[in-house]
Amino acid sequence: MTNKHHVILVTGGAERIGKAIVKQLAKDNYKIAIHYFKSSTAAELLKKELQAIGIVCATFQADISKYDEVLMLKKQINTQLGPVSGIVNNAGFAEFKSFFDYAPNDWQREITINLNGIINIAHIFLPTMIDAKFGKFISIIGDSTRTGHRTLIIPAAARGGVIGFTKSLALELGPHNIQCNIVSLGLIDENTLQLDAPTLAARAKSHPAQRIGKVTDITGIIQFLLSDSSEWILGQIISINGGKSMMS
Amino acid sequence: MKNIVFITGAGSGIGRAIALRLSKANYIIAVTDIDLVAAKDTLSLIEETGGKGTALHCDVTDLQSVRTAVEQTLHNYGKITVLVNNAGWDKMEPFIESSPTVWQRIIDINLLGQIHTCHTILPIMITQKIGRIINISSDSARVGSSGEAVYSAAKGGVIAFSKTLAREMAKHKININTVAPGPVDTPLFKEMTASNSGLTSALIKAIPFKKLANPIDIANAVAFLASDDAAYITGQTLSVNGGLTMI
Repeated sequence: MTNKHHVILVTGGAERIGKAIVKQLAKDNYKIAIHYFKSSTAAELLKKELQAIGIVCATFQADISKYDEVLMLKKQINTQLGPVSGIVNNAGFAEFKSFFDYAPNDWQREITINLNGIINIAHIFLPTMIDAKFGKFISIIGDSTRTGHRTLIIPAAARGGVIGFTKSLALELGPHNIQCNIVSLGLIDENTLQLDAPTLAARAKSHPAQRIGKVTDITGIIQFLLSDSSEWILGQIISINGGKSMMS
Repeated sequence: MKNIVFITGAGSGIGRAIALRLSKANYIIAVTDIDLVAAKDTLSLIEETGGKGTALHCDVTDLQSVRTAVEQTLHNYGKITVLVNNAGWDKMEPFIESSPTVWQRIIDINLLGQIHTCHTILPIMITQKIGRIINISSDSARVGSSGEAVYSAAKGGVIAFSKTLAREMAKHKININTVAPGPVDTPLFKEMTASNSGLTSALIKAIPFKKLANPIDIANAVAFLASDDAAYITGQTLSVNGGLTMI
């Protein structure tokens, strides 16, 4: 594991997949900036759990869809922990609605969080990585972005934008030794799935791996993409989905 | 017992780098190559750093040769945990000028070779109820590459073959994934571009990192896919190309 990193920022790091990523990074002894939007209690509990075992970490609240709040986020992280050298864009938001159930402009919030949020983070945090000539920028999307999904239509649209944005960013930042990549997730059980047992069983069976994903299935690829071992991987999309879809 | 990895074309270039990298990760290596002397040289390098393995002759185009190498590996170690299908070959020339004998050689080494090893080793992995296969394809399979039409076809076949195997084998807890390298600084690449230095500089200019990959860059990706950290990844294709293409 590289020791070149200063601080890793995980957005939406207080719960579910974000929390699993933070906990894995803690095992690897990174300094961690745990970002949250509303989950202050969960964030504080996680911070205390990690600090109790000697991990240097802190919690930071921000609405990433607002540029000024991301500016403040950067100032606070710099003051408390130091410069950010790796970012895991995990924060996201989905209404799970069919398209024609939206009133006009109700889709704006999903777009600004899932797309503008990442653009804001990139614009504000990446210049420091450019100066340092080192950095890792990982964005998490869903496989639904590339397969389509009837009740994730707006997040899919926004995250399609994340794909184009990340590839373009990767071209621009490659010469500065910054690798930008995307991790694309299949169906992951974050303890929030409201599916009855027969439906869950059918979903599991539809995966070649015969199960849906666990939050801990994600952490290995994040570790890999933050490490020196992935220096030559830029602008790629890696799906973690138990074989549910195999694109291109 | 440690995990055993069977690597084809491990006598040089990317294959040698994969062997050394996986040895560093504590695997025992069956170093196979059509050139047994080269395979033995790779084994020496492994042993110099405290690793273990066996050097074996293996011509992937010959099913019997593959079976013999696999039998020898099983005789030595009793299992094969990981297969890395790395052996490959190409001749760069415009398609219209290429000949049927070259087409056949390209398809036999790059595609049929992987079919041979998978067909021989998968029953072993099924009995073990565990296994990982990493097939080396090429970015040419995903985006095309002038001068490499039949190579691209063979490597494209590797991607489709890998995805189908992934679907069939997942129930046996066997993961199959593909690594698609971009241009890598290897003896084969030097041989292929010897008469076209303009191509190398054009590629370097097009790569965001402004240099060719080192074999270790590919080996690192293989090591990740061979590890437990990639347990939920199957049927995927990972391009390792310094950003040259982004699919």
